[in-house]
Parts: sequence; C-alpha cells; structure tokens
Amino acid sequence: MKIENTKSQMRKGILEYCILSILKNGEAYPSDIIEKLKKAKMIVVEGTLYPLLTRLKNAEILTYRWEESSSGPPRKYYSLTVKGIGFLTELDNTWKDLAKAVRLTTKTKKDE
Amino acid sequence: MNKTVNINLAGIVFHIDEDAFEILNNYLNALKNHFKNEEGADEILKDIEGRIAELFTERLDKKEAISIADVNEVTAIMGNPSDYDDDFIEEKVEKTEDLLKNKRKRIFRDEDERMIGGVCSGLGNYFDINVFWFRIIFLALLFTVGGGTLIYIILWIAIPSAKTTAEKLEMKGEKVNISNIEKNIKDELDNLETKVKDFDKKVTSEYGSKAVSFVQKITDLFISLFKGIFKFLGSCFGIFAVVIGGILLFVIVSALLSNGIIFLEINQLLSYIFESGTIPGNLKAGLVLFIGIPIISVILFGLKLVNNTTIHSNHKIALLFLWLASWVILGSSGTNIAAEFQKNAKHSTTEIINFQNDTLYLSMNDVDREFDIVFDAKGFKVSPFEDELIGIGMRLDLKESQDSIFSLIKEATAFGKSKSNAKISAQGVSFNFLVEDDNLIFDDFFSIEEQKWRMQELDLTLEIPIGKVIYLDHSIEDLIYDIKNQENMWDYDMLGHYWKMEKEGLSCISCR
Repeated sequence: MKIENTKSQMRKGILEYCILSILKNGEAYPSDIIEKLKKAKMIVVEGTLYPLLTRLKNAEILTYRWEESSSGPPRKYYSLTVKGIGFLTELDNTWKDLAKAVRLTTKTKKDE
Repeated sequence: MNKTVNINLAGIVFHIDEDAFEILNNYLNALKNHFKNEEGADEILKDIEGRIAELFTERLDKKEAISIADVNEVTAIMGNPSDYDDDFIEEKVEKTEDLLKNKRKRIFRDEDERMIGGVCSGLGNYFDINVFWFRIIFLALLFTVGGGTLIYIILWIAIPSAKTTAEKLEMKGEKVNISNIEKNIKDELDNLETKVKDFDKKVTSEYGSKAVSFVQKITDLFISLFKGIFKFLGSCFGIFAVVIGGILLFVIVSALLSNGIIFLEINQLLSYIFESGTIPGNLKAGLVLFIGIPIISVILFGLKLVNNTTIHSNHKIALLFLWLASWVILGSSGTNIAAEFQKNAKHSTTEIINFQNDTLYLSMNDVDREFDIVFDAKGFKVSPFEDELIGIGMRLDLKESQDSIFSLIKEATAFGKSKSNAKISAQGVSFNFLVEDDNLIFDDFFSIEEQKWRMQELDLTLEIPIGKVIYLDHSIEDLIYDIKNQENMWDYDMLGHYWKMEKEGLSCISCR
C-alpha cells in the first residue's frame, strides 16, 4: 500500500467538495476557482482542474454558460445544477460527520 | 532571429517561435495521450487550450510572438500530466504506465530532483534504481578518488536536462536492461526488413507499369539499407564505446590522481626523475587531460549514437581547447625534464685491494633480482628494488697495474642541470666489494645516494700487478666488458680460466 495513494484519495474527495463549495456562492470561471484553490494549497498546477470540471459536468452536478472575454477566448462560467446543490448538501453533512469522527479519534489526552 | 509559425488556439491566432511551437506541440500531444482513455477528453483538451490561449494573450501585451520562455511558463502553470496523476486519476495510473512502456527510454538529467546537476537523479530514472545509491556512489568516489568528480562533470555536460514534457516522459520511460537494448536492436533490424520488403513490392508493382527510374529505386534501397546497417552498428558501437570508455577513463584518471595501485610502478619510476621526488601536479593534470579528453570524446560520441544526445558546440570547443592546453603542459614538463639531463660529469675514485697472494679469484655476489621496470640507457640500468633506487650493468675492465698492488678504479658518470649538479650526482654513486681469502667478490649493483635517476653509469677498472694471476668465475659474465688479452679471446670465452698479467697483457695459463 502506498502512502501517496491514500493521500491522493483523501485530497480527491475533498477537492471536489471545495470546488462545489466555491460555486455555492455563485458562478465562476476556471481561473477564479483555480486562484482560490491555489491560495488554499489544494492544487498546484491548473491543468488538474479541467478534467475534474468536465467530469462533474458530465455527472450533471455542474453546468456552464459561455461568456465573451475581452482578454482572450470566450470563457466558461460554471455553476451548480439543482442536482449539484443537493449533492453539495450531502457533502456538507458527510464532511461534518467526518470532521467529527476525525476529531474524536485523533484527540489526545492533553486535549481533554 | 527566429522563424515563427501561426497557430490557432481556441479560435485565436498566435505567432509563435518555431522552437517554442515544438515544445507546445509536444506538451499538447502528451496531454492528449494522457487523457485518451478519459470520457470527454476532447472537451478537457479544448478547455486547457482555451486557458493556454488566455495566458498567452496576457503575455502578448508588449510583443507580438510567443517565445520558449512563455511556453515554459505556461506549461509550468498548467502542469505536467504526471502532476495530474497525483491528484486524481489513480485508477488510470496503470494505463499511463502502459503508455510509457511504448516509449523508448532516453537518459536525461532530472533537474526537478537535482542536488547539483541532476545527474544522479537522471541515472536513477534511467536505471530505475533509487537515486540515493547513485548519490552515495558519487559521494564515495569524490572522497576516495578524484576520478568520480570528473565523471560527474562529463555526465553533466553530456546528458541533456529533461525540459519538455515529452522529454520528461521519455526520461521515465521503459526500464533499461539488456532485453530492452536487445529489443531496440531487433526493432531496428525489423525496420530494415520492412524497408526491403516494401521495396520488393514497389518494384513488382511499379516496374512493369511505369518503368520508373529503376536505378533511382536501387539507390534508394541501398541508401536506406546502409542507413539501417549504420544505425544498427552505431547502436552497438555506441554502447561499447560508452562502457569501455567509461571504465578506461575511470581507471586512468583515478590512478593518476591518486597515485593508484594500477600504475604504481610507472608512478614510482617517474617520481625518481623529479627533483621533488613526486610527479608534479601540473604534469598529472596534463596527462589526465591528454589521455582523458580523447576518451571523453569517444564516450560522448557513443552517447550520441545510443541516446541521440547532442553536445553543445561550446563544449566541443572547450574540450579541444583543454586538449591543446594539455599539449602545452606536457611540452613544458618535457622541457623541464630534459633540462635535468643537460650536462654530464665524471667522478673517479680508486680503492686499494689489500691482497698479497698470487692468485685472485674474481666473482660476483649473484643475487637473483627481479626488476619490474627499469630505466635503460646505453646498457646501464637503474631500477627501484625493494624501495631503493639502485644501478646495475657496471662494466669491468682488467688492466695492468703500475705498481705491485691490486686496486679498483671506479669511474661514475651522471647528468644534471649543470656541470656541478651532474658532479654531485656522480659523487653519489658508490660500489662495494668484498675480499675474502683469495676471493674478490663484487656486488651486483651500485647504490645511488640521492635516489634520483640521472643516467648514472659506472665503469670499473681492476688494476693487476705484473706476475699475478686472476681467475674469472662464470658469475661475472655480465660484469666484464671488452677485456684485452694476448689470446684475443671474447669476454665470454675468458670465463672459467686463469689469466696471468704479463708486460704484454693478460695471458691465459689454463687454456691449453
């Protein structure tokens, strides 16, 4: 078993959750999302995001619309679908449960 | 000046330098490969192209064409396919590895993982061995023998760094082992075979109908045949050159730099020439360069054949320059050495032999010495023996004494920078003998006080009073030299006989 695998499994799920959370506040185009994720150190390189967005879109969790850009080609603005909002709510709950579980299991005596 | 090409990225036209285009194209192809099993691969690629177009637009504020630097910056922002694996597609990892397997592996320096030049990490990638081991080996070489450092530097120069994504893929490609090399060679042979077959078909299909220039076709076949054979032989030779060259270089350089065991004898011998008693550093450096650079060139050529490594012309010039410099160094060292042998001088001493009887038996203390290596000048040999520089090959003459005593004249010759230096060297030569009953026993060597080779020679003359008899034992065969006698006998024939000194010269009294 590779530690790297475990790490990337953890990140993988959380990254999706982060992207959906970013879009909860309204639509955004990839560069916006990337900037936030980079600040949070969730991703390092931009290329990572595009396959993920496409996969989420194909799963009908996200949708997008085109908008002309003054600096370059038209941009895709992504937003949550109804299904996506439901999925995000589920993820919120799952995350709370997980955070609680982690807190409980990793608590040391000193913390008590 | 750069040639540019036009490209269309996400509907926007860019001028891009030709070399930058190559890199971008490789990068996009690598991405395409990476996503080829992914659902919606086209869309992902379009999105990425769109983003690249946006990033390019930002960079074109003050200029017109995209350069290599721009492409490298942008690909760094977008990241390598290998970075994507990290975060996600781990179910696809296996497939990526399959993809890599089809790539022929080439060696690159891995500057992403480098400590100094990325040589060790590159080697680690190439041989699929943890880089740690290479670092340990080079570190050990650095401390034990200097040769390791040189090899590192050569590899640094010779191996290109993996810059583009395609190169990085190639760097981590298929494991290199004997069966791969075999496979590569086989592939090349197969290639050749296909070409021949194609040609066959071409001929059969075209010959009758078109009657095209048949000669042209034959020429084409031979050209491709020779190209193929050359490539095949090239690969074999390349591997051979790199391996043999590497070993040779390592051995020679380490030996020279460390007074190594391999050349111990030559080293020791040479050290007897120099004033300081050791080989000067600049001569060593000169020798390293003089021998090393041709070997390095062979290695580089081999790498080129095997790995398509191109060597920067500046590096070639630097190598040539260093090699010429080594000529200069060796030339000046040679002049210095030659200066030590400018003048010669003689030094002569006479020793009286206390012997009153009639017959003196001459013999030599014959030690069976085995010399590994000797300085040999005009039959006078000087050699290190048991860590002591000694001379052999003295010449003994027998002459008539002017009085009634036996005496031995020792005349030493030596060379030096000046007459006085030569004289000092000659005075340093000493020779011993032993008188025991009726025996005069010569040593089989002369000693050299200063332990420097200055072409020392030693001529001995034994003066025999008239009326006295000597016996020449066979053990002095190598010692006697051109002795005049009344019988006109050769030196060798005089051995084993009694000789009486008369007014007219030596006369054999046991010959008949």
